[in-house]
Amino acid sequence: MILTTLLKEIILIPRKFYTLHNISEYDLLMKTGYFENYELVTEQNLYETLCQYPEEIEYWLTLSDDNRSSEKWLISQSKNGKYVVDFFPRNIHEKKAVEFDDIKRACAMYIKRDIEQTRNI
Amino acid sequence: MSTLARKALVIFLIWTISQPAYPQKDIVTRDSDGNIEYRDSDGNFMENEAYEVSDDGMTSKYAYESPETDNENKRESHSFEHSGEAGESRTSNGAGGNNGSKGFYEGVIQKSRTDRNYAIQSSQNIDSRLQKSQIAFSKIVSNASGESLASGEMNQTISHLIGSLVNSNQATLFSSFSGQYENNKFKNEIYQQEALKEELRRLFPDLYGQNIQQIKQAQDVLRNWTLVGQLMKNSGFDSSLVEAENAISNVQKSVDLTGLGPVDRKLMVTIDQFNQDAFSRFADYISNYLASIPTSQFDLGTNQKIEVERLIFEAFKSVSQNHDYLAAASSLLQAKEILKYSEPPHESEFGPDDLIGAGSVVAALGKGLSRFGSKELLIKIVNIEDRNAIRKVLTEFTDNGITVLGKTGKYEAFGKRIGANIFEIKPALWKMLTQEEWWIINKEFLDKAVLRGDRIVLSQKVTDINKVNGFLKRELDYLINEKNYRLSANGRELLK
Repeated sequence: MILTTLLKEIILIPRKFYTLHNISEYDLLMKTGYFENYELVTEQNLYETLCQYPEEIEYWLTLSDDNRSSEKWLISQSKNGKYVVDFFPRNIHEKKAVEFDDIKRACAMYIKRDIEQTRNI
Repeated sequence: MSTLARKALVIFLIWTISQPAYPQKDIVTRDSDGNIEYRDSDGNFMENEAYEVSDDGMTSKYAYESPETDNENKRESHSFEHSGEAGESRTSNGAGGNNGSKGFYEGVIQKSRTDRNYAIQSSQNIDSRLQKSQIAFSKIVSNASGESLASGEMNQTISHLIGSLVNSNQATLFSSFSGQYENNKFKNEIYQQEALKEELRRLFPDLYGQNIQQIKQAQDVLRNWTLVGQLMKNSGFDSSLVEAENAISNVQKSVDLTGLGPVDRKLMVTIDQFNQDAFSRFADYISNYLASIPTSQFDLGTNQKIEVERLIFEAFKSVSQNHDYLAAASSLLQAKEILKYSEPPHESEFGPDDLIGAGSVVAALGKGLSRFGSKELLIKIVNIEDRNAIRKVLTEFTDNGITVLGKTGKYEAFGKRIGANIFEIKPALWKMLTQEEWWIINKEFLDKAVLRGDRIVLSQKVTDINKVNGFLKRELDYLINEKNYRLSANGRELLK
C-alpha cells in the first residue's frame, strides 16, 4: 500500500465513522491496512497529512469527546488556549499530559496514540 | 449509462418492435358468413377471404380475390375445394370466376409466393430486431455492470421488450400465413415454444443465467430459515416463510414459461426484507427463550453450565459469523435439552442474570443489527467478559441516586469523585461498536437512570444546549425531548 494513501485513510476514519453509522472504529482502522504497516505511520507524517486535510481535525476532536470507554486518550483545549493530549485516567501507566500551541501537532499525537490503543485491544 | 441514454435506448427498442412486418390493412370487415374484406386507409379494396363448409360437412372451400383483379373488367375469383377424403382433391371455378384451373393455380401460387415473401421478410425482421436488441442488451449489461438496480431494471425492460417483439411478430405471421398452409414450415419453426425459449436463452445467456442464479440464491436464503421456522412454531414466522417461498415460486414459474422471466430487484427486496424480519424475530426469540428459563435451571453442575454456555455462544457465532441459522437453531435446541433434564439445585458461580441480561441486550442489538446491517456485534457481546461489562453498566448502580453526564475527561472524574453512576465501557468493546450501537447501549443506560429516578447532574455547566455537540448533545436531546426533562437555571442538572 502506498504510504500517502494509508495516511489519508487513517485521517478520514472519524469522518467515515460518523457518516456511515454502521462500522466501528476498529473495523475502519483495520481496513486502512494500518495493522500490517503501523511502523510506517508516525506523528510527523500524520502531521504532514493533517496539514493537507485540516478540516478533518474537527472530526477527531468530536471522536475524542464522544469516547465513553474507561481508558482512553483525549485531546482538548485548556483554559490558556493550548491543546492538551492526555490519557484518562491520569494515574494509569504514569502517562503525562502534553501541551501544544499547534492544534495539528496535538491532533497528530492524539491520532497516533489512539490508533495504537485500537491496534492493541 | 445515463438515465437519459437508457430512456432513449428503450424508446428506440419500442419503436423497432412496433414497426409493422406486414402491410397494414386499415379497414377490416366481416360479413355474417364469415367472409373477410380488407381495405386500405383510403377505402380501396385490397383483398378478401371466404371460408365455407359444404352441406356434407366434408368439403371446405377457400375463396380468395386478389387486389390486382379487383376491377370492373378483370375481376378474378379463385376457389379451392378440398375433399375430406385423403389424397382426393379437385378444383373448380369460383362462383363468379371465368378462369380455368390454370388460372386458379396461378392465383394460388401467386398468393402463396406473396405470403411466403411476407413471411420471409417478417422472419428476417425478427432476426434483425433480435440482433439489434441483443446488441442493445450487451451495451446495457456492460454499462450497468456493478449497478444492480440499473441492471435489474434493464433486464426486466429487455425481457418485456423481447416478449413483445416475439408476440407481435408471431401474430403478424400467423394472420398472414398459417391459416393458408396446413403444413406451415414457418409456423412449426416459430411456434414451437421450447424452440422459442431456447432461442431467447441463446440470445441472452447472461440474463437467463443471472435469473436462475438469483432464484437459487433466494431459495438458499429461505432454506437456512427452515429449522428456525420449526423452532419458532406458532409465532407467525411460518406464514412469513410461506409468503416468501410463494414469491420465489411465482418468479420461477415465470422464468420457466418465458425462458427469461421478470426476475428483478423486487424479488431480492422481498427476500431481503424477509431476512431482516426473520433475524429480528430470531433475536427476540433467543432473548425470550433465555428469559423464560426458570432460575433454578441455571443452577447446573459445572460441566453442564459450561456446555450450555458453549452452545449458546455457538448459536450466536453461527448467526453472526456464518449466517448459518440452521446451526444456530440446532445449538439452541441442544442447550434446551440440557436445561430440560438438569436436576437442580447445584452451586453455580454464574446466575441467570448473566444470560438474561445478555439476552435482552442481544435482542436490542439484534434489532439494531437488522436495521444497520452490522454482522459483527452479536459475536462481540457473546464474549463473557464483554457481556459482563455491558451487564455491569446497565444493571449495577450506586445507592446515592445520582447519574452524571458530561464531556469526556470531565464526567468520569466528577462522577467517580461523588460516587455517582456514569456510563463507561471497557475500551476494547467501545472500539468495536458502531456509532448506532454506542447509542443503543447508552440509551438503555439513560432509561434505567430515569426509571430509578436518579438526579441527572452535569459535570460542567451548560447554558445553551445548541452549543453542545457530539454524544452529550444526543444524550441531552433524548432526555429533554423524549423524557420530559429540562435544563436547570444554573445549567448544572436536568430536572423533571
